[in-house]
Amino acid sequence: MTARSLAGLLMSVLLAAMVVGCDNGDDETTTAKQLALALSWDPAPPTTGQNRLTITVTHADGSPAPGATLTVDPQMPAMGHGSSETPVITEVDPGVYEAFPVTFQMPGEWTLSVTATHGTMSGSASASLNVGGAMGGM
Amino acid sequence: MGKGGRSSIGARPPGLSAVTLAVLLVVLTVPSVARAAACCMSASAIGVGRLRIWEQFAVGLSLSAETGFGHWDADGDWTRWGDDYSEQVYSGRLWGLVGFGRRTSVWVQAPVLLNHRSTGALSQTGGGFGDLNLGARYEVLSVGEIRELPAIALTAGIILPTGRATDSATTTLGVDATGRGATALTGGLSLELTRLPLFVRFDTAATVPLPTGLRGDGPRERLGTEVEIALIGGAEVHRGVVLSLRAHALWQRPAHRDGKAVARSKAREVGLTLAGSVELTPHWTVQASLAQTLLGDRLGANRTGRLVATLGLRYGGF
Repeated sequence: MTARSLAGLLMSVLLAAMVVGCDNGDDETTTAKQLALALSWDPAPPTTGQNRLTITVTHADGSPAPGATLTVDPQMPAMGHGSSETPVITEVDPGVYEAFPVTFQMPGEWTLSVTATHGTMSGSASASLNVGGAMGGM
Repeated sequence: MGKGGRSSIGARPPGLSAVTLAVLLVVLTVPSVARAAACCMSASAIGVGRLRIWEQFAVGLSLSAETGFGHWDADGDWTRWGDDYSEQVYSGRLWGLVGFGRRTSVWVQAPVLLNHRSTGALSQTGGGFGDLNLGARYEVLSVGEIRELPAIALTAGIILPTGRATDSATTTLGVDATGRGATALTGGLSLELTRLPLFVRFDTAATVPLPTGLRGDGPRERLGTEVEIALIGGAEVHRGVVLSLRAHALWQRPAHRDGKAVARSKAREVGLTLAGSVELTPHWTVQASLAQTLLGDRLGANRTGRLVATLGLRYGGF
């Protein structure tokens, strides 16, 4: 193998590795399995530290779903860890739930998974969050 | 290198250059006044590095201060942090390197970390002992052994999860996290070519984390395998003074949870490091470096953009 072909091969490997590193993902998805979930943040967008998440759970006909059991699971995929704190979830109005603190201990890309079950009904929502990016730019 | 270094030098094959022979003569006769040379210029790079040809062991301490500027998301979009968030990491690393025979050396590196994060009204500092790093280096071909060929060295090591994993951190901002939380195996290849007063080195290394359970009874998780390549060029600009520039690129494969790849968990970064070392005496060397990840869209993914300043002191025993 000549030096030129070796250099070409090396460049190809490097370029391929950089392309492989770029993939796209969903910003936010809601999957309704009889229950629909809507998420809102305080502050919005969420930042590093403690955040308050309001989750509105409704039936397929739009009526609120009180008394549901919810889970909130923040994860940082690339770092392989979750949140440093476990949020306490309370129902503040019929079908409206508040999770606090939803803690992102460092900036970066996080994913959030929320599930709700009410008897035999269930629903889930997930979001991809760029935490700590409020200021943006270079 | 190592304890057997001197006795093995005389057995080297014919065809050594005059420069290499001169270096070896210095090593053999007057090691107490030996200076940076073909065999040694890259040996005293920041961190563990390697033994100089006449050394039996080396120990060192490096102190680093690191500050972050922003981060990349999984798509490679760069986000600069605003005034409402800051992050610094201060670390100390004590390391030792011992030679066994002509070609083999082993090292240990013990880090201590102090993390500081501040966001809004919340400011926290924490730290502790980090992940212990153990390894071995085998020189297939030592520097100058065959002048026409680069030196070839293989490394293998293990990173032990002696630090506290982020998942086990108890502070809101996770400042008491000091480790990756999983044992990892490392392996690498280093090629080095020297033409006084210059040297060039190509390093490639892989870090393979082993599976671990999250929070004890949680899902089995394996962090992504990391592959890093680095090209280092340097020169002895003055007697005992070596400057070098290192460019590196790092890719991290997806993490896996319960056997399934975790979406958007790939990471990558590129960076430059300017390093210098000054040999104060034949035993003592001062080292300094400034490392900067290159900032901007698509230059990283799922990583923090940061600047790391390091000051180190190295003692070589012979």
